[in-house]
Amino acid sequence: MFSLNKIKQAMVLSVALTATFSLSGCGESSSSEQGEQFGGSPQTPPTTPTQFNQKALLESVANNVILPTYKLFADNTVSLSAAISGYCDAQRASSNDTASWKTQSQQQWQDAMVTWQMAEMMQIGPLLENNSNLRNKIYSWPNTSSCAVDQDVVLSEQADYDIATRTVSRKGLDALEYLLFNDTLDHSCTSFGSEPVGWDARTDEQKVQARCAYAEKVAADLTIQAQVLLNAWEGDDNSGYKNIFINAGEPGNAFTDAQAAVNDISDAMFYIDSATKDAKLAAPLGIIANDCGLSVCPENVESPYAQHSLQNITANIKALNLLFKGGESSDAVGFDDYLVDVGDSDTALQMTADLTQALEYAQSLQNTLTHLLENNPDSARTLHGEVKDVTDKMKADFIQSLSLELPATSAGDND
Amino acid sequence: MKYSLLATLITGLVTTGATAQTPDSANLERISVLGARNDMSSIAGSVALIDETELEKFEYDDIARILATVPGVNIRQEDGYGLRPNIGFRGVTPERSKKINIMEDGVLIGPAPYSAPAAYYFPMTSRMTAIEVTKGPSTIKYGPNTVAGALNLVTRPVPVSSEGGIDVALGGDGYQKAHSFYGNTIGQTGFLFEGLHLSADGFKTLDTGGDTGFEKTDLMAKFNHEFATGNVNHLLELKLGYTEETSDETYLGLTDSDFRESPYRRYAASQLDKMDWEHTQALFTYHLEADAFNLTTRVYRNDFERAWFKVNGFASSLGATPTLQAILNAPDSDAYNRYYNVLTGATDSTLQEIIVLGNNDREYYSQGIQIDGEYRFTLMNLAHRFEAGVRFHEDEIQRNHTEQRFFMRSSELVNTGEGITPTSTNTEQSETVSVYLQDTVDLGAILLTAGVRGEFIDSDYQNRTTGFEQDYQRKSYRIWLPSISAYYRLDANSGIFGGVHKGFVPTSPIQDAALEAEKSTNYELGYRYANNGTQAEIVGFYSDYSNLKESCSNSAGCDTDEEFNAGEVDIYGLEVSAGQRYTLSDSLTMPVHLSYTYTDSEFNQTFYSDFEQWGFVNNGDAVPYLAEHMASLSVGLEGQNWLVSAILSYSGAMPEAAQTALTGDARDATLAGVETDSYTTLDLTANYQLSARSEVYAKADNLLDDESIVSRRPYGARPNKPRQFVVGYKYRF
Repeated sequence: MFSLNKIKQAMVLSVALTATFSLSGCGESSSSEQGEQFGGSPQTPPTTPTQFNQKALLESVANNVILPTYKLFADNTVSLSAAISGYCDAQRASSNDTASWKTQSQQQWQDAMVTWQMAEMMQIGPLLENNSNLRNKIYSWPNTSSCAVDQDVVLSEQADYDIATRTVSRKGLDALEYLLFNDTLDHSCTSFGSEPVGWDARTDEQKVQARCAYAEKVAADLTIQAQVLLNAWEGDDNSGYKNIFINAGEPGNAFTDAQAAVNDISDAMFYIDSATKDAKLAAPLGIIANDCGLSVCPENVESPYAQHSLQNITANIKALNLLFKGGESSDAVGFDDYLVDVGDSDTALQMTADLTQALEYAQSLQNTLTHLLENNPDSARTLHGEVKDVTDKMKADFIQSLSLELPATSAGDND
Repeated sequence: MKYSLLATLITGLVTTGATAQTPDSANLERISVLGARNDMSSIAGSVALIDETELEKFEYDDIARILATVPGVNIRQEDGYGLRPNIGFRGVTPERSKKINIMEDGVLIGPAPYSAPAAYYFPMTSRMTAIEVTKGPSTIKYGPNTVAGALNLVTRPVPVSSEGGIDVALGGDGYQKAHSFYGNTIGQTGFLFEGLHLSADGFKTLDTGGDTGFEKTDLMAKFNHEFATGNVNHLLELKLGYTEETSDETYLGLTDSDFRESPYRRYAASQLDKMDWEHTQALFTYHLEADAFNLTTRVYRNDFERAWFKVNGFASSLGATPTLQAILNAPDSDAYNRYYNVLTGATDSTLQEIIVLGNNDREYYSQGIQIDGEYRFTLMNLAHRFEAGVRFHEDEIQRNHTEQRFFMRSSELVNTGEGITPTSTNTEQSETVSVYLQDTVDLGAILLTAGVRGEFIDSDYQNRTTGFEQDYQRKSYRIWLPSISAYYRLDANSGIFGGVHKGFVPTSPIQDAALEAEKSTNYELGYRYANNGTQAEIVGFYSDYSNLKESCSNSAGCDTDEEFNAGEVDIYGLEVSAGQRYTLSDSLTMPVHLSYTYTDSEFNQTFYSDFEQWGFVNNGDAVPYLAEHMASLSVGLEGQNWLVSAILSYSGAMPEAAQTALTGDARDATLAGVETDSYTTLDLTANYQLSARSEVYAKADNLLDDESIVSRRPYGARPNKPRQFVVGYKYRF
């Protein structure tokens, strides 16, 4: 039987105890325990304490891989611009050399594109600023629009046209591809009201000349953007991004430590996963949804007008291989060395082998990716598998052994 | 005997002040947290009670419309029907009502108040017989959130004799209501059954046709038994409840331009969106009552299962895509136009504009034992009312979120065939002990109240995805929250009150232990007058946040409730309410009530946050979704067997983000510098009593047919409810 008095006493006692406790200075306290994977942290910390010289890796990658690629691309754009000007001059003069100039322009575009596909794997610092604005000015794929290019072919004839103010899908390497490789002279705008004004009334010759004239403007702008990129890295008196990058972690530097800059390279390398493996291979293969549903869809390849997709993929793998090794020379310092240093030689060896195998397989493929998809899709699937071998290793052992963070773009799984 | 026990239960539990009131019949048998209206005049803190008479006058289903007459309540509308209201008090974020304590019959009723405080379940207000709002120092009795206040919804009591009622109504946009109850007390045992069904076809028009409305059904049963042992009275009561909702609701709104052209349009992309949930509750109450002592024990269990299938955004097989908010903010831009055209069904998807529908499937439970007691005694010739309580509580949310991808094909959503992808698969759980103690001492002209609340929270987060077993966190948190307040009687009808208390909002189990909990010091000072049909109250409040925390839930565009800290923030304002009942003749009275709220706020530092509602914040910027001015004026005319009432409500414009202007930085808050519309709505209602037992009523919500953007979240501009006429009939027996 309960006793009311006892309850009262208990209540007063508990209140007194609570009051005493609350007044004892214990106003607030906390404790916690977290799992190794909590907050996206690596599953396992490095197994071996490392004295690896991350600065050497940063210098090697910057001096042996990134800057040479950007410099080469800047040179490529100058050649490309010159070739297109020659092509347009020949056109305007109705020269017999027009076809030759066009071929030369196309070749220059391909050269520039191969270099840029290397640079695509090196999107660090200036290329990523302001929502990848500079990168998109140079190459905005997959945000491309042939209709937008058709519109600007006409709009650019106005005196006050300024390509610098135009949106990214109207310029860059992707616009040049359409202008140089697309032989269909009809405009590509399908929605009502979006057609370039007066285009249909023009003669074929006028259309060709108009497109070429616009290609000159696009090529000139590309030259400027390539130089902007180079300047951003080099700067005056070593004041560019390279200086920040290779001195990561030093007092006053934007990077908290060298590992953060190493992680930026790692993030860039995961282009191989989200872009090369998924967008460039899995999508047209129908492994993930494409315009044909889940079937092979050749129209969804990356460079459909130039039929340059396979070369793009090959360049991506090549660039990844270079970043992994830190450069071509035997004394370059790369991620392979870092892995060995932390005691994971197996991953270093396996990734080296996988990259070599993927590159050799890509280079061995004849014909265009469109052709392969239409006639021998298994070979494209094999290439996807070769690349996936690399990305699987990167997502697991590579990240874990080096205590790197997986970029958000590869955190989801399209595999 | 029964009357006296239950009446004392109500008033005795919480009545502030030394003078216990004799309860009137309207207060009988409800488990209130405030007590009788008369007692409220001497509460040292801001409280408001909307009783059954007021609730029945307007027959509102939407809590936002009901609370429009209460000063200090800030609301962000969403679906127009109030299915998932966003309520805040005194400037705290209204987002999913997550920072106030929502209670039904004194028990926390949110799906998982500690582990996932977003109130995706909200009790159907149409079946409530009273609504109580507590702000200021009185809040210390109701945790865990003490920064803002508590909202208690009081259900229908078991009648003392045979009593029943039917209420049926029809209205525009297919609105239907059927509400009935019957109860009786035989000897010492009573029962009550109540059922409520609400439905509407919806006032929005899908591009592809189809309903945009909802169906809700609520069933409740109560059983009680009363007995006495010696001079102690006992009451046992069991409440069981079941509620379900199916609603064609979406998070997708409109572009501003489309809104101005057709505010009730819904884009084709939202055609499959649907919310489906079930809620069950069981509450066992044991109350014992003696002369100067009472004790109430509540054992409760609430289960909630919901699945909301709705547009989450775009995906591309080729890479990144913009957010829905960004697309709807600049639909004509080169970058976003193609996505906008797919949303509206104007063009088909390519592999870059795949529409992602998420099925946010969640299971919650909330259970516990809550004991509240009161002991009145005299010590050193001073009358004390000592209150104390303890609650052992446990709640949990299990997320089983998945996504599916769709192509837009000829304005229809067609599955890509990629199957269902899990997104968030995790569990958050909290085990808590809360205690409070409070003593009110009568010092003559002054009623002085001091209290303290303790929150002891052990929480656990676990990612249940295979291979992520090490993604877990266990946290323990202990905090004591003091309060002190006073009421000074100026005379028999008026007094000054003031107080200060510590505000607190816990972090959810998934949030990194390094993230600070929200804490504030809250002050209020007010004056209250009440005398025969006249009441007036003016309260100034100031909340000094040492750390303002916001969590970004689905309704704000995040997948899991990610939390963000803003550091020091000041929120202050003024609440005014005044009411008078004018007697125009022997048979005609005119009640008039005015309420007004002024709120201002400012961040106390310059910072950047990737929380979309903040962005680049400068010192002095205002907190988003706070209207500077809110007001309502209600005027009625009441005859012997009829009444007509009108409520005119005004809400000022609210910033959609703290960032005041775009900077050109890619990290800008998308809605920087954008405000919601200010809006004024006029609601009218008329009742005519056909007989002692029956009446007809007619009402018009938003009579002026105001069309305003009430918010642009989660994705795009959303309207308030358009003009709606409803006619109904009530019969009581």
